[in-house]
Amino acid sequence: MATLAPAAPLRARNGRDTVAAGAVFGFLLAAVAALNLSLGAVSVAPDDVVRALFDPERADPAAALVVREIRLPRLLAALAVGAALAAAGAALQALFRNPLADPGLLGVSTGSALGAALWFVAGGTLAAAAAPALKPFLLPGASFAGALGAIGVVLALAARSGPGATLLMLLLGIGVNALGGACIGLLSYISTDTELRSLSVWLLGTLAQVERPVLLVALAIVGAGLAGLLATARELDLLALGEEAARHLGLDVDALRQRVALLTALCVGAAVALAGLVGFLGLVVPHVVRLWLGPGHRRLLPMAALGGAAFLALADLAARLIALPAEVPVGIVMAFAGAPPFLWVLRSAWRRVAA
Amino acid sequence: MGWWRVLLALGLLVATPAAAQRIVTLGSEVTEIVFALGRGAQVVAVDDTSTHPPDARALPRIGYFRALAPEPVLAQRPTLVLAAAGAGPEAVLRQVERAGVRVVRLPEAWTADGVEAKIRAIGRALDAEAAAERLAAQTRAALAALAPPPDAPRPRMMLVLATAPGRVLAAGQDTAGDGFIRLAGGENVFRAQGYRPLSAEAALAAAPEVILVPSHVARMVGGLEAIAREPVLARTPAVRQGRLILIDSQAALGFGPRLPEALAALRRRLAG
Repeated sequence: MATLAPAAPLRARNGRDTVAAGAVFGFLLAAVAALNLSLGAVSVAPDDVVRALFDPERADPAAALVVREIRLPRLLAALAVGAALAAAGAALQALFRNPLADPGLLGVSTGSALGAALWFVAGGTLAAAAAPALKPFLLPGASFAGALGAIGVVLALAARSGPGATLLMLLLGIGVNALGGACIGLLSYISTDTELRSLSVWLLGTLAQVERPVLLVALAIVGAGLAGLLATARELDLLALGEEAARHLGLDVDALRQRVALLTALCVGAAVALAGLVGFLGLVVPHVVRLWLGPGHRRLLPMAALGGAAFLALADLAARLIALPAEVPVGIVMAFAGAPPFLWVLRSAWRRVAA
Repeated sequence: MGWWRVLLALGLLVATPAAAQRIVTLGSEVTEIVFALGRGAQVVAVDDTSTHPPDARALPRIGYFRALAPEPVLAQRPTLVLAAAGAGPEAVLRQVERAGVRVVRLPEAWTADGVEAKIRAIGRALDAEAAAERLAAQTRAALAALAPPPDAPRPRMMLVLATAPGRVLAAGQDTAGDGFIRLAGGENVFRAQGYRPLSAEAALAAAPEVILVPSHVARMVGGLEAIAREPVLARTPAVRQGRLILIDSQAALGFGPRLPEALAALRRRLAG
């Protein structure tokens, strides 16, 4: 398995770079957030946006509604999903010491998608019976349950320790991915036309379906997952020395592996439940940040989360605006916006290795 | 504080008839029904599939009706959204509702009764029950006049979709295509549930004498000739005898007021 060390810059990074990166991402985040709240199909004057946020009684009611009920939840969802996917990607790349690891590696996003597919195909009758207040939770709930199911299978089967356990978990992830993919294929085969269309819209990744009550729950889950991941930064740094070396330094590699797998599953499961499948972000953002700030996870994890949040909010802004009055699934925008930087990162990383 | 604005608003309220709505229609047949009920002037925006009547084509569009986003709908400042079954996603409709817009979800059944139920539901939503009753009765009479006699032979039919060259789907039970074949007096020889991929062998075994091709499918793959050249269909009786019939997708499969028109067109082609 390739290690990350050669791909990462060899020059030691100092604190100034971290401050600079924090400032750049922070500024980007603030600017993108302001644009997201101000722009959209409904035109809202900038002072109405400010009033809608801080003084809703005095704002134009229609503008306040759009800003508070539609744009703000959607912005928060984009930030949470972006941060969750980028941080999970960074952590999984570190855990498996594989630069190609992405948040879907352990089968969690496939599990999420399978939960959603099951919901679309079989959930119709249940939806009719559910109380109105519960309805917004049904699809995200099914999806999150799928994520938990997938990581549960991986953790249960990978419950062993010692050398080879990491590789075993990786292979189990591949197996769960394949099985989940097959189940989704079967479900899309037996689904009706309408169900299939709903499923494919969802699978492309979109933030248009985010509803406020669901968002609060998802934010709590992502917050807990991110906090847990940030707390593993020092251990992930030790792991970068190699599993054997890390063990000799007193790191409980097996416990760390289980913990990181579970925490990334929480992040990714909540992200997919909110937004469907958004690719590339979790793979690309950690690489870009690592090239800039170096491989130390105490910087990498928070900065990747910040960068991922800003990047997805920016992509969603484009998704909402480029095809007005229609909307492009943000997953498609992300693939277009994410692939070129990925190629660029690969090229410059290769130069460093070759030099 | 501008008291004259209050007066102006009150005046407008009084001057405007209570029924005046700003309507957004989702689904081609929904748009057709609203226009047929004489409320076309209140429609402020339609979805991408609404291309009939011609007046609807001039209206702003808010995207494909199954993949909507909330803000483009709200940008039209609607008071009423009429949503065909399958419009959505459901979460987006709920967001529009939460923004204070009345959303009416319409029933769907691919039968003559289904068309009437849809017309009546739209009539209720628009406070145009009388006009809806007339349109429903008119549609029922037209469909009854077109109904084949019970002892008539039932031609073996199949309705195909082609999403790409080489990928042919046929309409099984519980589809608009199946409903249309029933109303046309045909026997749907593709016995499956929903739209399913068709294999060459299944097509041969089903042996359709007539293959119906919706217009949007023909447009996508390059005409009836392209469908006839599809390897899975090439050996069927329908293709060998040149009995591929083009049907207007929206009129035939939308189950709206133009359904009798589509059935009559098919009847002429079958007779000719």
